[in-house]
Amino acid sequence: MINEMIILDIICLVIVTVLLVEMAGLFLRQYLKSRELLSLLLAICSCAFCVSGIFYFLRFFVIGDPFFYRMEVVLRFISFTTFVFMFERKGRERSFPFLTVLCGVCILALFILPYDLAYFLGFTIYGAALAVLWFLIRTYRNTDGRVRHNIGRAIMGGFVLGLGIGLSADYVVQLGGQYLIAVGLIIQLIGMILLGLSFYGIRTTDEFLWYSEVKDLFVIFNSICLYAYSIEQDNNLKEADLYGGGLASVLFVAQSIVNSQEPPEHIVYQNLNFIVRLGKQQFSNNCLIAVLMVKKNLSILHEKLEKFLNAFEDQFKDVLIHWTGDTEPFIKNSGNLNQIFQPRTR
Amino acid sequence: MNDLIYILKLCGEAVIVLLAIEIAFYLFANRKDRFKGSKHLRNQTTGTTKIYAGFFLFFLLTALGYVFYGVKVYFWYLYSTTGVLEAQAWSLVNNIGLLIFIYAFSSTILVLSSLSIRQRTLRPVVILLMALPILLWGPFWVFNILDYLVIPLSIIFLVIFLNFIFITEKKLRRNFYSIFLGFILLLSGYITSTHILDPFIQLIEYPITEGIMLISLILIGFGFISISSLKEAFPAAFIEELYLIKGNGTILLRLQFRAQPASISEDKQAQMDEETFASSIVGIEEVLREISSAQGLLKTVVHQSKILIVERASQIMGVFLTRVELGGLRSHLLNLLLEVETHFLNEIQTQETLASSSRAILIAKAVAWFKDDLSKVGDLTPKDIQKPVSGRLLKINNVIFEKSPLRISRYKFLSIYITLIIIQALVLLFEIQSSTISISQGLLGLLLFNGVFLVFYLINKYLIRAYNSNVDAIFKNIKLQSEGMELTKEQPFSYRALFYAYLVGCLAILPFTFIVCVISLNLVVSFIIIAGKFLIFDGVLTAEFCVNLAKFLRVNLFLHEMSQNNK
Repeated sequence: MINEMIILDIICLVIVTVLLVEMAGLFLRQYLKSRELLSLLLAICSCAFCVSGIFYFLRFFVIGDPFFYRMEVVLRFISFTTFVFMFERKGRERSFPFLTVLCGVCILALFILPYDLAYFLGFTIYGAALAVLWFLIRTYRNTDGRVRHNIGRAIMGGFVLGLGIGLSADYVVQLGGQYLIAVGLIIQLIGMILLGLSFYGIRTTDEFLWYSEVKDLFVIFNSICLYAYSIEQDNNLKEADLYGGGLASVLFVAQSIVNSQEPPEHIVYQNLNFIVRLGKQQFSNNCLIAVLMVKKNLSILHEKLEKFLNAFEDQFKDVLIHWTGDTEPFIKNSGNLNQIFQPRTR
Repeated sequence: MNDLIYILKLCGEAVIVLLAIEIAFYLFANRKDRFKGSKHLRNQTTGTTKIYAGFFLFFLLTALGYVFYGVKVYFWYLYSTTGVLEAQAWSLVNNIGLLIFIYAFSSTILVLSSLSIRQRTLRPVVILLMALPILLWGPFWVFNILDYLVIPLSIIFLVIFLNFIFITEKKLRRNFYSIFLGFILLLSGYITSTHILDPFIQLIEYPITEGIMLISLILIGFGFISISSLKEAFPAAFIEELYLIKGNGTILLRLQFRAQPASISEDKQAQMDEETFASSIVGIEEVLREISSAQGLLKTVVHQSKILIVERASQIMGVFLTRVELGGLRSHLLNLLLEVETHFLNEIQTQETLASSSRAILIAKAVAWFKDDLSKVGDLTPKDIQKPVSGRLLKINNVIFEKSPLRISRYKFLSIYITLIIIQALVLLFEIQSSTISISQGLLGLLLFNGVFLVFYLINKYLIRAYNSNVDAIFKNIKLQSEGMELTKEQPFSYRALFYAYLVGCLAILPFTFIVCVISLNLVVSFIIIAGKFLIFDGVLTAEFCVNLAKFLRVNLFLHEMSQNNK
């Protein structure tokens, strides 16, 4: 007859595996939709963790073969390496990804070295885990609002998952006892649920790399363009008056054809999106209108535009109350506000 | 059952529970239909929220049912390895699991049947199928009947679901077919988890149920994920206006689906509006082309409460003014544009506008499509919304009659129901503990109690609806224009009809009163049982007397006697 503890372990392991498969499916679906590399890497990462779980099962519950251990660690290493690669390419913009190569060497060594040495080399995986953590923290710092909240939850989920994996690792189990497998697996399950909920809440990984999607920013008041800035090229737009005026008329016409009191929230023009936000404060019975020209309509960009507009209103409150038509103060003093649309660490 | 099959079965059940919970909460999260357009967009006239709520209940209860099925498998495994069957616990788990499955079906059927799709074919099917197992097995084989009840309930469930397939088209229909196939498998899985097939094969010995259930849940899950919103089933119902515009800004056709101009001056205004609209759309596109320095097309303009969906063929441009952004609308618009270009290309190229005969053909086509979609909305409209009753006062010969709808809050009803169930369950638990009734009798008592409550709820609901519609019809006959209108004797009015309507209204209140009485009675019963168990008053009340009194006060006595006779 089978021990209840083993049953619990196996059930937890199966559920964690199913959740990982689901997560891999979620990322794969996103990749097929948007062809975003990060989605593909996350799908690979989930798959690798899933298969590594199967090797963990074989090692603990079927036969303790060293090959299974090597495969388990190597697969987890591979999944972390995808993040390390991403970190170096997108974050650090390195021409030669030496950390990724280092991870590759470790993976190779895990296969070649004798089991005892490979076992100790396996601990280097925590270094890769730290790189993953750094990547996620960097992404967290670059985001805002709901996306930021979800990434925060994902980091917490990752921590919990890591804790669970650590507790159910054979070194800890040998020290603390067999019950730690069940405890570790239950903690992994909680971590997976947290991770799953947060990634499902984000919907698309494009939200992480929003800054590559932003093009131009316009601030309009009384149908006059106060401020026009190209975020993509990091300079003030030439012919700002012309573009801003054109946009103002587009908004006005779009507003009047549906007999609305407010401008449209969003306009899609071929592959471009114009996100529109109306200011909360009134100056001479009029509100500011901010328009962001973007390639993809991401929720984080709506939140950033709202944040920018609120800051703009607060900063130029006094100027706007007695505004005489001079746009120089806005052009000269808005530099600090542009930071909202810049990633915090390049 | 060997160890491997046992592990396989348990793991399968764990995954079933996980998937069912995931599907349930996915549907719960989608119940309000989040659209891409605007957060302000809500349409309360369709019953899509009810559909989501019904399926949410179904999957949640399925998950719960399979938790008990897992425990049942555990007991069976113990039996097959040790030879000892914990008969009472086995029976309890089996019966609770079965009750939960039946609740899963019946609650979902009840929620979904509150939509008007039921009216087509369902009522006779429901009655026939509910009667069938009773005729076959007689009144005493109660749990056998419960086992067999799963079959007709499954069929009713599938019949209801088929109605959804009939109102969908193209991709949506394909998705619904995959969900339907999933449901067929899921119901087969349900049936294999009961005792129905025991005379032929002991399915509990094999992981067949789990395999079928897993495949079915995967199919259903994929199906639901592929459907962005149930409102995709009737996209035209959200259109307010349709515009067909030539490239130079000349309007070819404007069709309003909501309000028609009432007077000549309004008609002229409308003509001016449509000309402004057409030129504005073309103008917006031109300006955006300049700003973005790209050759492109305007696609969507999202306002707080309205959305403009723009699509273009080679010669003409089409605009839908809608309330929601649905994928189906864009493809419908493009198809319409291509059709117009195919049939009227010469006219478009050579003339300034369409000939009146061409316009008439186009309008007829568009209106037919619109009406067809609206009929689908009617299928999914909650019945309560179909006959709105508003509160008014009517003064006839100095007597004031109030025309106010009779309503009982569903939350009040639900709270009463939950209170009752808790009290009833506690009472039965005490009785099971004091061995005055068996577990089966206790569960049967609970089931019957629920049945009685539901019957009274339905009677109550039908009577209230009858009262509301009667009063509404009477007040409509006399064409009441405003509140407090005084009627003269010349106007037709039937006191008798109003009297009957009020009589029905009074009757409608009776079942509710009865339910309140049942609560009070249950409270008395539970007090007596607790008093009998813990507070025995010497010479006044004995425990036995208390329990007997409690049994006398409730229908369980009848059941107990019945089962004794059966033995």
